[in-house]
Amino acid sequence: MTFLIAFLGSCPVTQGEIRFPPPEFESGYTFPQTTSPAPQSVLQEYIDAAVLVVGLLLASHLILKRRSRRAIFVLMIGALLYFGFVRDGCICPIGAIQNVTLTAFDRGYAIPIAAAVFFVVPLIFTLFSGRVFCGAICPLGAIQDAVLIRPVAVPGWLESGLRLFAYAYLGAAVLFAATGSAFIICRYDPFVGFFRLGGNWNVLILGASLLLIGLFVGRPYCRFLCPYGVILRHLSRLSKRRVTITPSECIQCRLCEDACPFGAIREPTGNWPEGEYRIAKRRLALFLVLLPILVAGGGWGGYALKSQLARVHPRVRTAERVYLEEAGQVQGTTNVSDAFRATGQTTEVLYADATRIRGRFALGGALLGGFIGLVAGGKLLVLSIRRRRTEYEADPAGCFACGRCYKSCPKEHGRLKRIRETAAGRA
Amino acid sequence: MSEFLGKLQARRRFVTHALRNAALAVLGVGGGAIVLKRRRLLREGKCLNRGMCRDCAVFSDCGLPRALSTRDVLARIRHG
Repeated sequence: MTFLIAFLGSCPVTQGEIRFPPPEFESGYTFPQTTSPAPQSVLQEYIDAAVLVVGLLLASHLILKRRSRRAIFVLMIGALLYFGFVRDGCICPIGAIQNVTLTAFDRGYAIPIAAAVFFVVPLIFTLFSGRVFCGAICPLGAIQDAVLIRPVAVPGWLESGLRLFAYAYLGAAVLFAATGSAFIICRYDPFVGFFRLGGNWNVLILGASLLLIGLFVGRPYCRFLCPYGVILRHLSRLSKRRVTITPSECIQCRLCEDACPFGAIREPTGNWPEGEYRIAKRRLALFLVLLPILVAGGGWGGYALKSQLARVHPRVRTAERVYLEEAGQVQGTTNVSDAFRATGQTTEVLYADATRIRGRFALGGALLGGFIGLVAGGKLLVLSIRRRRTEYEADPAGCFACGRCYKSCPKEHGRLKRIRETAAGRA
Repeated sequence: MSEFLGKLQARRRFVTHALRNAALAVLGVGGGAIVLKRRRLLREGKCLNRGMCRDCAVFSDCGLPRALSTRDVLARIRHG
């Protein structure tokens, strides 16, 4: 890990330099910051998809069958090097959410097969093996996992509240992709700048900040921001097989209690104390009443933000700029407004397009706000419900399948000892 | 009490199983829809790669004017 920190510190990422300087235009035009790497060959994309499938099969074996943290860590570093540094962090399932959304909403857009594979395959594996993608394959998770040195426990209520950002981020990413405005997940990917050895300064600072926080809070991006993680969380509740702390029956030794840096180990629950049960019932009833209010309030708030949200769309921004120039409210022109006039289109067409897009954002903003309200209400409800547990277990939704808890279980040590003895007996 | 808990767990397992199968069905139908959409766009003569022939998966079989022109240029370069 020290090596990794030293490597990240010494690489030219921090200087944000572009390795091949672009040509200088006489008009003074400056290149925008790009968010996508140069096109790759189709064969390479199929190789990536094959590596993903093989990696996930191996991860499932190491996490569920072999139960070896060391082997999982080695695979994780391998995936970080390949999908991160060799393949420039692209393509990844997190960004593929936007490709899938765009193909659902844009009749003329066809998603690349590799992007579809990267989106679907980890979901299928999650349904059978839990979050093995997060644990061993995702380069974004791996870079955070590698820097975690002194984990600090985050209180449950704070964790639940911060997770709301991931839902909002997912909703916003779907909205902007569905309207053809922007792929915000790719634009604001905090670690891709490290993988590509260059990028936007603000995003690099965001990535560095997340890595700094990640020294003490396990995988902050995965837990509080990752939009793909939101989908995986819910699917992992349905998984056929999942991480179990102990290989056989739990002896309630409580040694695993502090093993998980992500707060995903749930302790056994007894019966409700009488007084507390009554309070919890009343609280649950209150939150049930509050739920439709939160949904309606969120929907109204999202609708009210339609103009601000629509400004993300380049067509709307162009229309606003051209309108200001035509009305004489701003002096001079910009490259964008000059380019629009050079197309020979009339301003009426531009304004009509902008109005149509704003209309989409009115509906989309209301849906996004309603979704956030629904998630917030749902979280309040979940906090008031207590699930019955008879032994220590890994929460399937919160568990990243990193395998840290295996080492703390005496039953696991017994299993490993038996394996070693069997192997020695054979030898 | 234990009988009640047993029934509850059995019901929970059944619901989880049903939801897992439903999720797999959704993913399967979604994947199929993506493939069918690509085929439909190809049949309708639409560009799959937003006008970029470089590294396009269907470039060699594409009949769109841009692909024909690109192939022509490439052939001329190849043959001097």
